Formats: sequence, C-alpha cells, structure tokens
Amino acid sequence: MPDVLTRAYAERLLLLESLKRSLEEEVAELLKNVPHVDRISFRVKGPESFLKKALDPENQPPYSEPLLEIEDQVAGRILVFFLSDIQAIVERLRTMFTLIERSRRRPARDEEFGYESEHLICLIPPHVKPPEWFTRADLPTTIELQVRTIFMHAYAEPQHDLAYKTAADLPSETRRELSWIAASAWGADQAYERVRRGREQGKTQPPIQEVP
Amino acid sequence: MEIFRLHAYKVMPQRTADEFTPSDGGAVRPTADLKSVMESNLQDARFSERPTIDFNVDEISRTNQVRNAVMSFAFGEGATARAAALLLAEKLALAMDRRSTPCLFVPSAYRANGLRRVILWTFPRDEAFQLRSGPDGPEIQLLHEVFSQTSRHRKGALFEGKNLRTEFLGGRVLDHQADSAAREIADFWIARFLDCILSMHDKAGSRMLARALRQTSQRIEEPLQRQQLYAALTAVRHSPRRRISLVTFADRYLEEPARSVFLAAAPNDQSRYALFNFDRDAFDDMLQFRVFELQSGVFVSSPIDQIGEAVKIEAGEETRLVCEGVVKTESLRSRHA
Repeated sequence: MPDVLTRAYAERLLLLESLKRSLEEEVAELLKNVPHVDRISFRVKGPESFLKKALDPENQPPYSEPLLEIEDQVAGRILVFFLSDIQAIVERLRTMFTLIERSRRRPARDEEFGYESEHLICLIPPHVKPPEWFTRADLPTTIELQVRTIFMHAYAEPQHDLAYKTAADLPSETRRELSWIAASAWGADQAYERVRRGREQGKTQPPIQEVP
Repeated sequence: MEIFRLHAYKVMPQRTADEFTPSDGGAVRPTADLKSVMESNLQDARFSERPTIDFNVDEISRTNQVRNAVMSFAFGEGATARAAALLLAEKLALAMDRRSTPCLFVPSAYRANGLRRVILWTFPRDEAFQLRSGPDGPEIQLLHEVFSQTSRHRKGALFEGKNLRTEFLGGRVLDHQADSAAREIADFWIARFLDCILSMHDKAGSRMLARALRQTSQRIEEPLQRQQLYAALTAVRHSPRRRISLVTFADRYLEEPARSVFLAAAPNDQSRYALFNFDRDAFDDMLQFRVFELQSGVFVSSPIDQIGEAVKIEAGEETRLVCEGVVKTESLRSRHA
C-alpha cells in the first residue's frame, strides 16, 4: 500500500505544481489591492508528508481513497497584519473560490493558548486547473487555504519546525513555554487591533499604566 | 457506464400554490428501449460542453440537501433511493412557479467500477399530434400528457464520483435559460432547484475574459480582426445579458479567425464553457486602456470608454488616430508610461 501510494502521488506532482503556480498567480492578482497582506504562499504537499497523513492511524475513519480525500495536496497561506483583516480576506477569497468548509482553529478552552488560524477548504475553480488535469479522474477537487496574522504565524511556524504536533508528550515546562509564546502572540494581535481601531477612529488608546 | 436506477415523476409547479400536491411517480424499470432513449438524451446533452456548478454547502457541516439526496440516490438501497428521488421531485415542484409548465422529472443513476453518476432530467409538458389510420381513414389524435425530449426548456444536471465527502461537490448543467437576462428564469434550475452556484465566480470569470482578450489582441495582427475584437470588448461592457462564458462571448461577438484565437486563450476546456455573471469593475481592472504607438514614436493611452469619443480611429489603408482634448497635466519621463 505505501509503495503504491507513493508512486501514485509521485505521478501527480508535476500537475500539482502546475496548479500551485496558477493559484499563486490568481490569488496574488485577487489580493493585489487589498491592504495589510504581508505575504501569499502556496505549496505542494511533499510525498513523505502525504504518505504520513494517508496512513496516520489516528485518522477516524481511515482514508479509503487518500489520493482523492486528502484536501491539502495543494495549500495556500495568506498572512495579514491585523485580526480584522482575516474576515476581509475571506470575503475577497469568496469572490474566486467556492468555500465548502470554514473553521477557526483555536484552543478548545478559553484559558488555553496555542495554535490559531482560519482554515478554509475550497473547490478548485475551473480556470486554475492545468489542461492535463482533465485527463485523470483521481485528482483532488479541493485545496486548503489558511488565513492568519503575522503573530499567529510567528507562533505556529517555529513550533511546527520543532515537530511538536501534539503537546501531550512534552515536558510540562516546555508546554508552559509554548503556551507563553502563544499567549504573547495572541496578546500582540489584540493590542495591534486596538491600536488600529483607535487610529481609525482618530484617537490613540491610553497607554497601559505600569504598576509601580 | 451502466444505468441501474431510473425514476419518473410528474411534477406540478408548487412555489406559489396554496396547497401542496404530491408528485406522482416512482421507480421505472429501465427497459432496453428506455435505456437507449436515455442514452440518446445523454449524448444530445453534450454535458462535457456545459457549464460547471458547485453545491452551496453549509460551511460547518459540509451538507446540502440536494447533494445528500443525489448521493443517496446514487449509493443508497432501494427505499433510501426512493425517498431521495421523491425529495428531489418535491424540491423541484417548490422551485417551479406558475410560469413553469408541468414536467416529467427523471432522476437516473449509472455505475462503473465504484464510480456512480446521477443525471437529473426535466422534460417539459408538451402537446402533440398523432396521425393514425382508422377504418374511416386517417385521423389525428391530440396527445396532452406528453413530455418533450427535444424542447429547449428541458434541463439536465450531471453529477458523478465516489461515495466520499470530497466527491459529488459539483456537476455540469444543461440549461438553455441559464444565460437569460431575466434573473428569475436564469436562476430556476441552478440556484432554486439544485441549490448550486456557478463554479466560475463573477469577478474571476470577468478577469479570465479580460486576460483572454488581451492575449488575443497580442496574437492577431490583421486590423479588421483587431477592430472586431475591440468592438466586442466595448459591446460586452454594455450588454444587458450579463451571464456569459468564453464560448457564448465568442459566438456572440467574434468571427473566425479571431474566434479561434480567442478560445485558444482559455486556460482549459472547462473554463471555456464556464458561465459567470460579467462584472464590469473586475473586467475594467484588467483592461482599462487601449495603447497605441504611432509611427512618429508617440504613444497614446486611452481609457476604453474614450475610443470613438476623444480618441477617434479612422480605418483605411493605414489606420489613423486623431485625439483632441484639453491638457490637464504633463510630465517628463525617460520612457512612456
């Protein structure tokens, strides 16, 4: 099974790359005049990552057709300055994509801090598919888009790089360190949002008084 | 693919009715003749050249009543499929108002190697003559309860895929009224009944059209062809028929060889047939100016609206440009803008 999947996935990589390039151009065009967009990036899921996801024993139910079912074979990320930009970007994306799923990833409990991001699953629009896309019947119909602030990203990326996918097996002190980083990122987003709103309303927020 | 399930319902318009009348019908045995007729309808419909649509799914649960029913009809057992077909017939009745004629609603399901296909058909009621030879000579009978397979008001929708949450999220439609200028008529099949939207969104489609026009203008050199292209560009911006595809645009406004050059500029076949509502702002954002380089080295950059107004193009042995207006600003540059 892994060999068959690996081969099948390798066969489609050129097509996925072509789709990725097309999406990059289209989304850049779509968002060209939208303020506060820091960067737009797309990637094709690597073969190892695809296989790991396809065969992950934690998948419930397990994928029966991972080549069709895994939705982030091509995925994009849009980083914005402020929290309130996320909604504006999602609305702009709706003018090009049919959204079939939208979820705000955040810790389940209010007193927890951790990964936050807006995740969208979108149908692939007709005009971004490479012509060869139509010669195969086993290609995905969807892509994933993530929209997040720079601070959300500042927490998520190094944490991802450290390969801490689940916090459960980490030492308590490390978990506290990561939570602190996430809380700081959350706080920074909130503060920037307040400053921005204050500026828009023509006033500055009173500075936080230091406790003597 | 082999047809394995066929239902038929007579559907009466119910959208504005005071009392709901249940649709009459049910499962029909797909005889060889019937299979052949349905196959012929499928060929005539040329679904591969029809616009694509996406189900309007709930973004939390990823559900859509019509999609669920279509999948139940494709993959469910007999009773589940019957309930799904009836639900679709009733939804169709509720989408039809008094302007619609009663119709024959025929959901059909096909299978091959784990792949299923569902085609939903409606054939409008018609009136027909039948010539018969009787003992007293030929006689004409009037047939009232017949449904037309060839009417331009017949409609179809094709969905196919596997029984997965990532499949059956969209399909293709046969709907000759989908580009009607009257929104109520245009929306009946795709939006009101199927609860779908066009796969090509308005702004994205309009940008694609603009890009195709720009590429075409770079590829054709013959002055008359270019004139035709610019006339088409102006016409589409002012047309009351907002719903177009690259193919309908080409059919309406272009002649060969510009037509072929234009259609070749489409990213792929699916986008060529994809319908969208023309969005002038998105279009203008991509194609706002016509730029002319004169033999003298002068460049003239004109808003499209000003061609024929402040900027006059005179066709002849040589194309001449005449521009007149009041200078508002001027600047010095190393090259033209």
